[in-house]
Amino acid sequence: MIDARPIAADLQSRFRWVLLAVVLLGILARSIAEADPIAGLALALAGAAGWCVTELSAAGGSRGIPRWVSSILLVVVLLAVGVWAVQNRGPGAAVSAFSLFLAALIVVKLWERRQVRDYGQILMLSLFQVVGATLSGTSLLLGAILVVMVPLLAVAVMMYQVIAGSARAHPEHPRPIPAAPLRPALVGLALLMVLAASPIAAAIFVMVPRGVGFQQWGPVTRAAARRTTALTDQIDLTRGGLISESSARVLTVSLHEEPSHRPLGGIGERYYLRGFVLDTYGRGVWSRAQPSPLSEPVTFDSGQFHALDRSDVTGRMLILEVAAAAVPPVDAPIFSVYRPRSVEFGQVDSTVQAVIDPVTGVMTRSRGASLNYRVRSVIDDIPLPEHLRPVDRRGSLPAPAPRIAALAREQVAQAGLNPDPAIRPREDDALAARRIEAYLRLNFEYTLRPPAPPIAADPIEFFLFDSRRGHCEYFASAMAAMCRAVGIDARVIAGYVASEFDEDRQRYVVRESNAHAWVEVCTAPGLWRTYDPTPPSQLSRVAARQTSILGRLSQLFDRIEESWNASVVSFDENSQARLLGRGPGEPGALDRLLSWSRRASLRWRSTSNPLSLVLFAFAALVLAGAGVFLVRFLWTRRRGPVRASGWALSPPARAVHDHLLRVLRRRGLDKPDWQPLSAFAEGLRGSHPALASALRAAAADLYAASFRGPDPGALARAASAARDIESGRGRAESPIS
Amino acid sequence: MPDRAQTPPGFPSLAPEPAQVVSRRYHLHPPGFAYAGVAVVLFLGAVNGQNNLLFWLFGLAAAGLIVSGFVSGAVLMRLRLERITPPVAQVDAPLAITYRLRNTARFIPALALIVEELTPQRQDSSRLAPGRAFAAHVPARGEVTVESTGEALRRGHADLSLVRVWTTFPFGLMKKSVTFRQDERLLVRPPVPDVPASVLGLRPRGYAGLESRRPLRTGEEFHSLREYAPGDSTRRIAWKASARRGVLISREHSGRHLPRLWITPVADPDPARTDAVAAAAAGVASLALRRGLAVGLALGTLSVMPIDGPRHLAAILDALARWDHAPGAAETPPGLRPDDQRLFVAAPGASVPAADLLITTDQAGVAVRPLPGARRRALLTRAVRSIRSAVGLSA
Repeated sequence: MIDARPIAADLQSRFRWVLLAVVLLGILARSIAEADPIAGLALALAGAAGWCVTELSAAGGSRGIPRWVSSILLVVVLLAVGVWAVQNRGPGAAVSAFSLFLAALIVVKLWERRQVRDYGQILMLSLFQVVGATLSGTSLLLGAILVVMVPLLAVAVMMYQVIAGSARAHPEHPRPIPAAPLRPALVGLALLMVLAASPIAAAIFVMVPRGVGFQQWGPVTRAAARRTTALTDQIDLTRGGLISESSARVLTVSLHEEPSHRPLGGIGERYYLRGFVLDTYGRGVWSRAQPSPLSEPVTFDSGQFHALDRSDVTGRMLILEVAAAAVPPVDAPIFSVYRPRSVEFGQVDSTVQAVIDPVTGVMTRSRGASLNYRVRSVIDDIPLPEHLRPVDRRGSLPAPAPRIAALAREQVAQAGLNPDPAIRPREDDALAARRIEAYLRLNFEYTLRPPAPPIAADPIEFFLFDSRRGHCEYFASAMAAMCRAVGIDARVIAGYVASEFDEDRQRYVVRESNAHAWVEVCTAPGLWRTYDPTPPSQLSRVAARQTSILGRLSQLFDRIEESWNASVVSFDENSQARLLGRGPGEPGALDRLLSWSRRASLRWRSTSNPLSLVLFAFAALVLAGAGVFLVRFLWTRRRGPVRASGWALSPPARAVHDHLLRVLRRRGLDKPDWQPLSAFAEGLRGSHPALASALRAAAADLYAASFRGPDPGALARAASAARDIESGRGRAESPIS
Repeated sequence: MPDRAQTPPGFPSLAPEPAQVVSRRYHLHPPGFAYAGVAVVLFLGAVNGQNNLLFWLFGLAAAGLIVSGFVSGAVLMRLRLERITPPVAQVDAPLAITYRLRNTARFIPALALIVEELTPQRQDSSRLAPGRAFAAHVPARGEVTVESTGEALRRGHADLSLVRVWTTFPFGLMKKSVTFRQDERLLVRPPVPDVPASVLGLRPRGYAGLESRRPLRTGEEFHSLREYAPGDSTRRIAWKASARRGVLISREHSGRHLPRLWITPVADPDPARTDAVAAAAAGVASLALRRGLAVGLALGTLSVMPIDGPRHLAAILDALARWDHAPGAAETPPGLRPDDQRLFVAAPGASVPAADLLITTDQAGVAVRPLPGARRRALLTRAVRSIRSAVGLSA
């Protein structure tokens, strides 16, 4: 309870409002991170009501529900959240459950009668909630809330420290603390700390190594490694909307046909730039295919050419010339249109390391930036050569959820085709895929802000049967799943759609917002065709530039978000290297260390098991303990010479001195380190006169033995006095003996 | 050490010297551990998820720790303290100790400072339980005066030496302290309990009781002048005559002779019971002085001659505070007159020589106080019982 009524403008009254602001901001941060506005609103209202009941009463914090009621409530909340967590397993469920529990706990604490320490607990819980929110989200709004909340939390904690200090000094009668004299001090200190802490925090942010230990303990949170760049090599449907609307330029591409050398492209024409092939699906995540055994690392120098497919192919070829607008991240794809046959790099600053898989046609380049390359692709439907064909999986694909399979069979059957791949002719697979594509285009709504699926639910199932709204990733995923349900092999392709044609320069400008996902369906052995189930009209409408005020504001927000994503969210080892002034070809000591730690991390990940985790934790604890011991030991040694415990005594005198101290300690008389022996003896004069007298004499002899030159007599006298004290002759009047 | 009782009552301390800094320390503090734990979780979460917001929060957490340590340490580096103690203290009366805090830092204010005396480790012999003082704010280059309210536990000389100023400001992560040394000795008087008036009317061994013979001050007449003798009341000094002769002259009155009461406290082997005896003696002396008797104290070298008047109580209390005699030895009053009354105050069961009056501590209504250590143990026992009953175990 904070009793602050007598003074209107006291610190306690101000603190209450700051506390309320911190709590509400924490709940807001949680609801943004979890994309859970309804629960957030309910929690905020309940918390504010509790705060009003307890804090706006006459006694400030003394009203409210009693402790035993709040304890029961806490148990109920704990059970409810526990049940919820068990029912909603999935990536990030534990963090979400914990965050929800924290918010409920804060609300309960706002309703109960409070002591001063309860305010500290509420602040600590709010801090935990911020951490929980940060584990689950990285959005710009969340970042903005943190920017406001962190200094506010710091001020609240400082105010709390003053109030708690007063309560510690006067526990029976807490006194109101005038706010006016404290205000400039608190504001000044807060400013000072922000000014001092910001560069330190920024330095730590920049210097902490990136890329080490990624998912060492698995995907603990849903926001793990979340990057809001438009194109990723992994599509995580559990995260809701992450398709970038940024208009940042990514590539410029130009195309022409061979052998006619006719330029391709124009307004209204779209080309699909293949990036990654994602054919592994699990728990709402599409991830990259395992590289085929035929994939090979290739090192490119300037102008070097590499052919993926050395078989003789006749037909039309398409030449794609790409100029990247920004240094791509590690493992950036080498884009192609259709299936690539060869790649050739332009002028490169240093050699380019690439991995090329001729089976999937996926080319990725690792460290070593090159901004220009040319890719030759086959336009016509020509199957892969025999030696490059993977195992045909038609009819032997893993079954998706029963509802999805039923829907797919129903749609195929409605097209007059047999859903059973064993009976259906292979030639009908293209028709079946076309039917599914049309079904998705006509019956589902395209949106860039789809609702996040429940944690336990399969996102594709949620999209097909519940929300019926989503962006291209949901459409592509649904089509791939439905195709697989009727035995047709299908995979999701992540890349860009080149649609913004610059007539003057005869090339396409590709922006982040052009990121797209579509589907490739295996319609014949070694032949993959492109299908795009995303409604094309709606896709064009969303991609169109908005000119209204709201649209402009939206674009402004988009630009800010782009900066946020570029500078904070997507800050990685490349950004770090650029910021620290190291180019890709200039590995420093830190680079080598990071590289080694990354390799070790990967090696450890591949071999880690629970036992190794326990051993690792144990080793870390032992090392930490040894570190603490070492620091303490060094600190003690450092402090040793200034301790007034006879440091300047000669070694024999020191021995007698230490013996004396041990004798005194056994009698319950601990001489403080700072106090000379003679002064300590003087202090005992009142309570232990005889002992004090003997000690004084012993001290004088010790000093004489050490500082007046060699005097064996003095040392002998001191030793004799020590023995007397030990035997009790020097403590006759000691009341405690 | 200067004896605080030597300073005249009501005068400030004779030791205005600022206390010397003895040590500065950073103490481990549970919230600091929690904070460090959160920072470690932040770091691990950031590494595992490569979540840059977590990296940013971790940076802030580390920066907060560094800045917090710097700010609080800088504040305490520039703090000066001076303790102002009262001349005497009394058991069962509030003990107010004033501290003057000066912040010599140029820019950084000091906030949330708690000032406390470092009591001796041997609590059983502690005579004081000083309270804590709190300074919400000491501005840069400013000074504040704060006061702690504690209590004196046992009569006698109490030594004050080390004062610790500590704070957990700004974030409560670490407890920083600076210890000052300012040696002082404080005389703690025994408590003055309300003794029932009836105890002076008791008649042991044929004694008629003091109450019946109590002379009233009315009706006394001037008899003569004589030279001042130590112990005479200042109200009896004839100032004009003293001025004429150049020496202090006291008035003597005729009428019934004022009965003089010698109180002899009897020490006990148990220090707590001896303290109770001293308290009972103080209560009896207070009662007798209020009733108009001249009261003296037979305490050997600390004896106080019988004088009447309420102000005489201070001298009696000071003597009782210093009383530290071996148990069992009842002192003979110096200058005992035949018509003086002797009164012994003893613990029940004590062997007391024949006296006009014997008052035991229980008759005086004075209970034996447990020593501070015993009291602490009792509190601990009670706390353990509370915890056991709270968790459902039998108390």
